[in-house]
Amino acid sequence: MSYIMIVDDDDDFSFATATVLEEAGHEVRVESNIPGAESSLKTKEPDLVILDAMFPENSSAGFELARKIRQFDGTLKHVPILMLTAVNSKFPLGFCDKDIDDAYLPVEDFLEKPVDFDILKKRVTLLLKNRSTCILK
Amino acid sequence: MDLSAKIHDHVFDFSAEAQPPVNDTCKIILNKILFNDLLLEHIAWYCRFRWIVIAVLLLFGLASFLDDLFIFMKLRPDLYWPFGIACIGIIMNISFMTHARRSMISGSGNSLLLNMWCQIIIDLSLLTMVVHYVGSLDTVISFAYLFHIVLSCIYFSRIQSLSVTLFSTVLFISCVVFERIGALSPASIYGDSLGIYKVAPDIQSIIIHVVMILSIWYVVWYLVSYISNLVRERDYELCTTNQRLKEAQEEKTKHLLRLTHELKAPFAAIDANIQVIQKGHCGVLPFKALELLERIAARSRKLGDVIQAMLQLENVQKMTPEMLGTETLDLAETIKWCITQVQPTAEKQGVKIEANLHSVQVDANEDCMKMLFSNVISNAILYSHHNAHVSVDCRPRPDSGPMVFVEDHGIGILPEKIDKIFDEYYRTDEAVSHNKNSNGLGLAIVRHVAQLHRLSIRVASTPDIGTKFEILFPASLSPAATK
Repeated sequence: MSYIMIVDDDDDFSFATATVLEEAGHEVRVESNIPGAESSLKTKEPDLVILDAMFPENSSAGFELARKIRQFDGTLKHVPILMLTAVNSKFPLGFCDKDIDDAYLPVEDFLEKPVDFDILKKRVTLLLKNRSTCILK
Repeated sequence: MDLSAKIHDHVFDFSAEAQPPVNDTCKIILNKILFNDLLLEHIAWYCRFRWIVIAVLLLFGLASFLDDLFIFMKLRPDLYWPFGIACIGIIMNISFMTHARRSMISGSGNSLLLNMWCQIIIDLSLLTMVVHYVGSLDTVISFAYLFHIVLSCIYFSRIQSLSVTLFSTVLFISCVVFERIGALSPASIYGDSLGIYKVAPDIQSIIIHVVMILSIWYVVWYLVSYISNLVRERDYELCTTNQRLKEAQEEKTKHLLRLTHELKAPFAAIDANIQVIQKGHCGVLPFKALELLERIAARSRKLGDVIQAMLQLENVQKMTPEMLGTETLDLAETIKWCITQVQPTAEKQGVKIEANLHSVQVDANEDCMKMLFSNVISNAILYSHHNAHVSVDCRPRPDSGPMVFVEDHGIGILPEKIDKIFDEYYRTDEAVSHNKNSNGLGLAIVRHVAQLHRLSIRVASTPDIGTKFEILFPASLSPAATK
């Protein structure tokens, strides 16, 4: 069983996502704002973070948190991040390739809402598997 | 209990927001630009101009040794002063250019400004020497000061250009006074000592002469500085307008981004919760209920797609070629990315994509190119027959920009309907019956992107056989052409 943190301000979406992931056998914690997420990350290190990009007070708070996580000490900075947002890189509104470029935005994967939960579960499994392999190495 | 102590008094001054003090910002920006990049350019230009003056002085000095010519022209032969002044000019040019380059590397704007002013002061001093040797009152050489006065009016503020004019006045009057009191021995290029005047002018004539010269200088200064100031004000206004346009564009972008999120997020949440029920996380539902849920889910997904397409269309419609940020792209890579995006749809439709992509470079907006090819390829998939294949080909063309074609084997378009396919919300009856989920906005987006990039699109179609889209790039979008 893995510990997954969902950081999303949309309670309806995160409730459904959490339900599906819990059914898949994971422990899930939902945080609806960035300060709460930062605090939870330091309390208990997750195996995976599912992160939204846009938050009410800051349109790029998700991007900023992703970069901040990579600056954390210890193993926390290597936590895989799956970005899950309603606005994708196809839409020419400021989210461009550089936002999802490895060097610029260090996230492992990027999915667009609405998401097919079968695809989400596959990606989650893959990311968790890669993390386990990295830890073993 | 004193309630007033608990009240947090916030005053929101919206009037200040309505008219931001952009003018001052612009002035600061313009001054900064002038002090850094343009200043170096001006210094380099001054030095280049000085090389010409040095060359003229050296030629004049050399020519003065052709005694017969100079005596014939009634000029004084064997002049040495042009060489002396030219030497000082050469040393100045080398020193100032070296100093300017070092200042630019260190990023010191003040140092560049000091360089510029030192050049002006030394130039005016050297010019006064030339004026003295050529003949301060004998000749019209005193009008050479006007070059500096006019240039300073163009490059500097009125106060600064007035300072240059005043400094020139001081130097010129000093030269004339020193010559008159004998501190400087009178000089002239003319062979007979006083040239055109022939006789030594009296003090009244000198004063009238000097006053006339200075009057002309100050009239020129007034006119040029006035016009320059007007031009500069226009520059500030233009900068202000540009700044506001840029801010408005950024604001619009943020607004559209937020709007997209706000409109799409609820559908994502609805879709997510429907999936939870469909996948049995809340228990087993009767078949009829599942069927209804699938309909709700499909409708929700379609609404999300329509919203995204509408916002994309809105965005490209408002864009102008000037607003379009372009970069050099490998078209093959962009198309590969688009194919990856539409691959799940192709798999769902049982359509195979065959790509033959040659690497070609174009200067274009990447997001627009992605929108264009995603829509064209996605349409080809959606209107293909089951188990058919879609060909995507990208290749260079001789003497022109590259060509991309996307060919499907599907329902095709009737000839009388081809003209309308790029219209917003237009869908042929055949297209609707083949795929109910299309929204009729994809090709409208394609048209606007093509207009923005001046692309030509050829459409060839045979009903029930298939459609071929040929997207032709103009030579002007090739990186070599834009350079």
